[in-house]
Amino acid sequence: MRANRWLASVAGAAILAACGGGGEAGEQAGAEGVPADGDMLVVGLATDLDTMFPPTSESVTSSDVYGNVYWYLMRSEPDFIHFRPGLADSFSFSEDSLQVTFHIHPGVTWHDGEPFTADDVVFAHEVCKAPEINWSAVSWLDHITDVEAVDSLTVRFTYDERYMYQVVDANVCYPLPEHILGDVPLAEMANHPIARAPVGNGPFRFVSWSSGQEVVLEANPDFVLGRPHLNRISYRIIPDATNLATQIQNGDVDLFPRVTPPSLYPQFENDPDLVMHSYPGRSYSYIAWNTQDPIFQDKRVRQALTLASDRQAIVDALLYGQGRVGTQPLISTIWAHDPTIAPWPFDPDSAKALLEAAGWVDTDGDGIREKDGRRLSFTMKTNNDNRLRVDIATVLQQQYQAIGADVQPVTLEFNTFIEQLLAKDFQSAVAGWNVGIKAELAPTFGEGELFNFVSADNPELQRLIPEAELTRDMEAAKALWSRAQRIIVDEAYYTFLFQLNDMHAIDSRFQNADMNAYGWSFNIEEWYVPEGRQKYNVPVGAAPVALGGGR
Amino acid sequence: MTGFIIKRTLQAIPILLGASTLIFLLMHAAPGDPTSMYLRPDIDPVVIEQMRKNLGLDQPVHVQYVRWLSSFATGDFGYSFSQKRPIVDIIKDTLPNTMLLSGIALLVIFAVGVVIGTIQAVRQYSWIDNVATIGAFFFYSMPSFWFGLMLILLLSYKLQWLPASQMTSVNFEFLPASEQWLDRLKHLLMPAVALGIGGAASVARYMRSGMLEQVRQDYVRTARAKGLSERVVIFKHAMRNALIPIITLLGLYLPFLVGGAVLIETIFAWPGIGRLIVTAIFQRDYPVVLATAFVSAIVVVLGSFIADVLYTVVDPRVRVDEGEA
Repeated sequence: MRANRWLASVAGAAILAACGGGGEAGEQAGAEGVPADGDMLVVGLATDLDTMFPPTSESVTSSDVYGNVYWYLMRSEPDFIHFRPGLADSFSFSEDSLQVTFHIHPGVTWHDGEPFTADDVVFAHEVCKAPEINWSAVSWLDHITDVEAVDSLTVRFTYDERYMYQVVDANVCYPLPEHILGDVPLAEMANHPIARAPVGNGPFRFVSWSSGQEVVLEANPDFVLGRPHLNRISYRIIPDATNLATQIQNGDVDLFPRVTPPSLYPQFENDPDLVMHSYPGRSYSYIAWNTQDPIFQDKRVRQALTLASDRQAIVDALLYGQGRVGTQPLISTIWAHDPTIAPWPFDPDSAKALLEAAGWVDTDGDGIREKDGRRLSFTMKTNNDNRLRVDIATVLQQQYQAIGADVQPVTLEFNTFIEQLLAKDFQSAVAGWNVGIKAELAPTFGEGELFNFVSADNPELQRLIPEAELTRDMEAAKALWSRAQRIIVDEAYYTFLFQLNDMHAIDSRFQNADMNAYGWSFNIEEWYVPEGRQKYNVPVGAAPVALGGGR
Repeated sequence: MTGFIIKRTLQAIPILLGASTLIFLLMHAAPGDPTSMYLRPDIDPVVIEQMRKNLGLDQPVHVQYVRWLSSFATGDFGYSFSQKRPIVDIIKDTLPNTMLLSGIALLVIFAVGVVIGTIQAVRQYSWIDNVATIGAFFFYSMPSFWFGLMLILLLSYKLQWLPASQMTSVNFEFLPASEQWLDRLKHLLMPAVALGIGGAASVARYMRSGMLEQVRQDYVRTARAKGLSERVVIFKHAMRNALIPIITLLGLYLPFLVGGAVLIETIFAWPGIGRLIVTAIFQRDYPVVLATAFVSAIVVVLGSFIADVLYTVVDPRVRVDEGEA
């Protein structure tokens, strides 16, 4: 999870209100019983992994799994700014802050028993940077000019400038076992057996992967921070949500990560055997208005339609309350989020007034406004595989009817939808962004950028974005990001619909699970089942099944 | 017989080539390509360009076609974009699972269908005939995915008799060998029934009408007049003839079982080739779609071939090469 969590999108150190600020979360406060070793966790995954070779993996599902097999030098806290020891005990900055030195814990080994050294870190960075590998997050390494093994337990990163994310960027690329991959040509590395049978250095080691069916990990008794409590984790691939829901309720599956569809929430919440973890997730949904379209050129129309959107009703009805009304692009998990920016209110009367001021009046009495012979009638595109978005478009159709606007939802296959968005071939669209950990607005609102399909061109905004990016003082940067965001909100390029909660359902016998914006398996090595409640008696190292070699 | 096989094999070549070419063109005509899913603000467009280059997608379609065809002809299916491993490995993983599921489903379809249809014909208009007729229409008109979900709700959730998904239990490797066998069977039962029941209902209808037609024939009356027992009349004479149209159905069902298992494989989390095809289409994983479509086409050709061979077994008049009476 770690890698993809981090590269999952638009960068930054997110100050997260995971504990406490999270709102309606079912935080598991106290843990019951005494920590004990044993038992197995059965996780239901909707899709199979793509690969377990971190640099070529593109799926969050995969990183959820190999993130427990491979481990970082330093582990990020859920705020993505602070770090705790991982394979390294500590790190230190050089005088000029252009170098960061990590001190690896002595005695760490790979799962095959070979020692883990600074050379593995250096090697991994060569792999991550190689064009043959074409790692999708390679731009995170842009400022790292050199990675050098000072001695076998000391590794030093050199940067071309000082910036906020130096430690983050040094930890994005997982260390890889040089003793296994050192002689493998880069072009063949992605197809090496290790991609399907990883040899890592984390709390859990690989047991087996039967394609489309199951991935099994077991406790690594020699883990640097101590043996994890759970003996085994079985990830079962169950694509059908109804089936998965059935199995977590009858106890065959212990954990349903990222519960979807939301209609399952009430059902799970009423199940006494399940504990729900809910916290603001790292994504938001929005309506995009194409400002090049004749109707939406006028920002008053965009503002009016925002005022006419009852977003709280959408959160309550379609998300079963598990979300918060959106206010701004830098969502609550990012440090630059400005909580003082209030959402546009739901105010149909003001919306009508704004439309009239903009010249849109219903002259022929058919309930739809007109201006210069054009009806206030437009299409709203979205992708048909996302039930929630289709429902949103339908709800909005009714809400806009009330202020004299006519919307026709158009649902498209995902690839077609993206293609039309990027080609600016739309009037309005319901879409969403996954958000990373760095504060960034340029890709979506910067002039001429591929993903600026709303054609945001406010001159002050275009000046503020690069300025904020280059500002190193956190408070000054925050103020600049806030100003930029207020312009985006006022221009109403987007109608920010909501920030959806991440919801995970887990069997109540598991204790000490701290799920947060970092991911549901944030501290999985610390989860345990008290002795009396253990369900499976599966020994560690009993039936090693090596697939395709590697162990 | 040898000549027949050679002839059919030669006939299969243009069919397979045509089907693959058509699918190749259709896939490339669809919007998006395998890199579409990486179109995100956080991924540098340069990376995506490099990706397209590495995958050969920057070439014109006809170049891609020739490349694909020449490697295909040498038996190289290429690499999966999404699973990042050779497609041959993927098919080796999934095809046997589908074959197992489909094989058992086929057994359900024909064993159940033929038996019920025969009973119905022999006991025409009895209560058992009427009940079976209603049942047949019920199962025939029911979508298999819905029936599958109902089975899961009833047998896995309410009664907890059978496992709801996968091919084996989580603790499979720790079970003794005898229980492993039982464990597999338990996992197989629901998907096979859900996949086969609709077909069984339809086979039963065919079998019933086929048998009814046969028992009215003169040769059956003659057989009875000869003093043959009813058992011999029904099973040796009438049934053998009634089975001929059923054999045609078998040829039709074989390919359906590869493609038709898509929904069942998804619902029961069965790691088969049907699920693979659908996932690959959505991910625009061209090489996987082409390879699996090719395998399906082979199964279709094989299915009709097997049906033709089976005709000769059931109906001596069809024997072409070997002129025995």
